[in-house]
Amino acid sequence: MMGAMKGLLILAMILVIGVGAADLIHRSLPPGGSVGEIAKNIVVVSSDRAEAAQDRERDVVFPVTPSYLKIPAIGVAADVQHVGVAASGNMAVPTNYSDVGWYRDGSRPGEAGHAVFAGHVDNGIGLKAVFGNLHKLSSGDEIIVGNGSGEIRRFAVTENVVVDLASFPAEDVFRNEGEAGLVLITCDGAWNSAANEYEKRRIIYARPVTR
Amino acid sequence: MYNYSTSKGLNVVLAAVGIVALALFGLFAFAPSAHAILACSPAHTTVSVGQTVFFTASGIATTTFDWGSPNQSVSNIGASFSEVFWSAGTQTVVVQTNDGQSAVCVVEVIGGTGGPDPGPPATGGGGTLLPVVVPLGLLALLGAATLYAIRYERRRAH
Repeated sequence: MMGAMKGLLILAMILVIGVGAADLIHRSLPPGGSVGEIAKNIVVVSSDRAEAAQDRERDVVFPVTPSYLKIPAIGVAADVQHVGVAASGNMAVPTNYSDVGWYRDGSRPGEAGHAVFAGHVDNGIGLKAVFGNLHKLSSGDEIIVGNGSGEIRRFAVTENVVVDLASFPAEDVFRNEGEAGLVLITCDGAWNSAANEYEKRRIIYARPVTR
Repeated sequence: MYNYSTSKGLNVVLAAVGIVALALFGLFAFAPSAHAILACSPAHTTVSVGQTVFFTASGIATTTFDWGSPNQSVSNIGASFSEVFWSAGTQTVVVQTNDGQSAVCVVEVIGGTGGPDPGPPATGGGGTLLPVVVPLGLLALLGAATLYAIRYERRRAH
């Protein structure tokens, strides 16, 4: 009898904590997010658009307007949101933790200048987000950007650097002239609770490659 | 010879014309004024990225308005509103009254060239909710244990 009661107690505790945690996770997501996205964020980020385009992907030499982005080396296959500039004057970010934001006022992948993509490193409860494993990228790792028709441009990582916020090279990152390239940005360093943001940014530079 | 019937007919016609004229005059002169319509100005403007635009609501007597732009929504403010536009493209600002009237200002933002580069994106959640999650979890645990203890005591009493 006592054993059954203990079992019921444990079950009740798990239920209470589980419901509470689910509620908090839901609240921690930005608009458009859902509890289900947490599962995507933990290890592999999967994208409907990327999966749908998988069978009809073909390399092209012209610039593509990005619809999805894949980084096979770290298991990322994410939908791309087209973002502008936030009210703060900073590049806007995706409305959830599983998508990647492409700076729509800059270059498209394959065009002169840098096509800039930003993604979250983690969420409100510390779980990894779409760019949570960006630190693992090294020279030569492939980044694939595709449009809605499955036309893709391939890029290879050339640099993986971390910079202080104060020395963020905005002029270089957002350049829209010169050699075509791709830039990925996410947060890094320590969390500054006073400023409510991370103290550093990780920047991945990549150049186009053809097959 | 004076033709009485002709004169009478003329008077009737003149009277009818007078009545119609009066009716028309009354219709236009004393008709209730048209319902006031909210307007947002400038209704259409073109600016460069980073420029500030000042908007004004007019056309009605209301003094408080709700304003909404791509970056912010502000309720119960006056007839003036300003916004800095950082994203290129066609943007809209909507002004609304409490009784449901609304008007739209359209802003064409010319992108990129000459505008400042954006700053670094804020791409971290930072685990800021952990200090909330952990205490709440402990509270839930404590609550469940208390409930169990109460039920256990009640059953033992029976």
